[in-house]
Amino acid sequence: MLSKELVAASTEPIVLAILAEGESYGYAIIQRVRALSAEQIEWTDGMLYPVLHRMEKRGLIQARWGESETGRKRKYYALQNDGQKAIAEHHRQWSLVQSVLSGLRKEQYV
Amino acid sequence: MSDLETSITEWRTRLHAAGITATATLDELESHLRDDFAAQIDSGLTAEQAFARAVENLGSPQDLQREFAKPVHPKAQRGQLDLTLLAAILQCALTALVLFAPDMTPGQRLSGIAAIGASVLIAATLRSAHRLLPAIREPRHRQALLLTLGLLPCLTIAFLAQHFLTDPEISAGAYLAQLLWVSSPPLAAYFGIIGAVEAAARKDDDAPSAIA
Repeated sequence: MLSKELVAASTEPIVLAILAEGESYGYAIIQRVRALSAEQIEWTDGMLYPVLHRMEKRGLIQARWGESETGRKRKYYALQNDGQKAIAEHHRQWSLVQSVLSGLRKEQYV
Repeated sequence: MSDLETSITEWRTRLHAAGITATATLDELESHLRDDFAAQIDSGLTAEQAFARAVENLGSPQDLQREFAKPVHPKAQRGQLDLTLLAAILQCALTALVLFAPDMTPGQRLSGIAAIGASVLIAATLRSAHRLLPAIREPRHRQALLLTLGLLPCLTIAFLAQHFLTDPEISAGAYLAQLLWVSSPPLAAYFGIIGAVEAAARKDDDAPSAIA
């Protein structure tokens, strides 16, 4: 299981990257993360929604009410330009951390 | 299945009691609950088990409420310029200027103070109208609106200055008082509106419970 800090830090970049693939809704996002991480990343379902709401307020994503396949109300989220920029920034930061860790690992095996 | 509907209504009441009162939020969580319920049924659970599992998966109402209540921006980013504070400092500086400037008659000082007072009133009134304004979410749209609106105080001041500040014989004290009347109210109106637009944008469309 991932540490709480890591889960918290990775939530936004993961959600943004999923929405970069196209509009989606909370439940589908959670399912996608489970599938992508082979169940290693398991968010508490409800906790995703405050995150989505905050991201919407910051202008990273935009929400609209639509309908599910059964005609029920469902809230869909779409990536915005600012969200695209945030993705790039997240990528830059994660790549940096990753390269530092990789570099250190290589040194240890020399 | 009316059992499901009853259970969902009870569940909504529990969330509401925990402080999650915004209808849009409850609707969204309910939509998730129903999706999860259906998935649990598909994987073979009974209706009761499926509902219990789906509710559990959402997390405790208290934890949810705490998350929803967290501020939008992490503390590091919240150092936005407080326009209200800036305006207050400006008003104090102007008031000091009017009170202590040399060569002003008491009448002129009073006039200057009155202009500042009127401006404060105008700014405060407009600022408090944020509840009447729609929330303009996109920062870029807000910026465009405020830049465009900025033309109004400029034009108003230019117009008023042209009409009223024309006497070359006027004393410095009288000039200061009249300058304050010409410039402060339009600027105060403008800054009041800026404050209201920004406040309206921060207002949560999920009304009572949610984020600060």
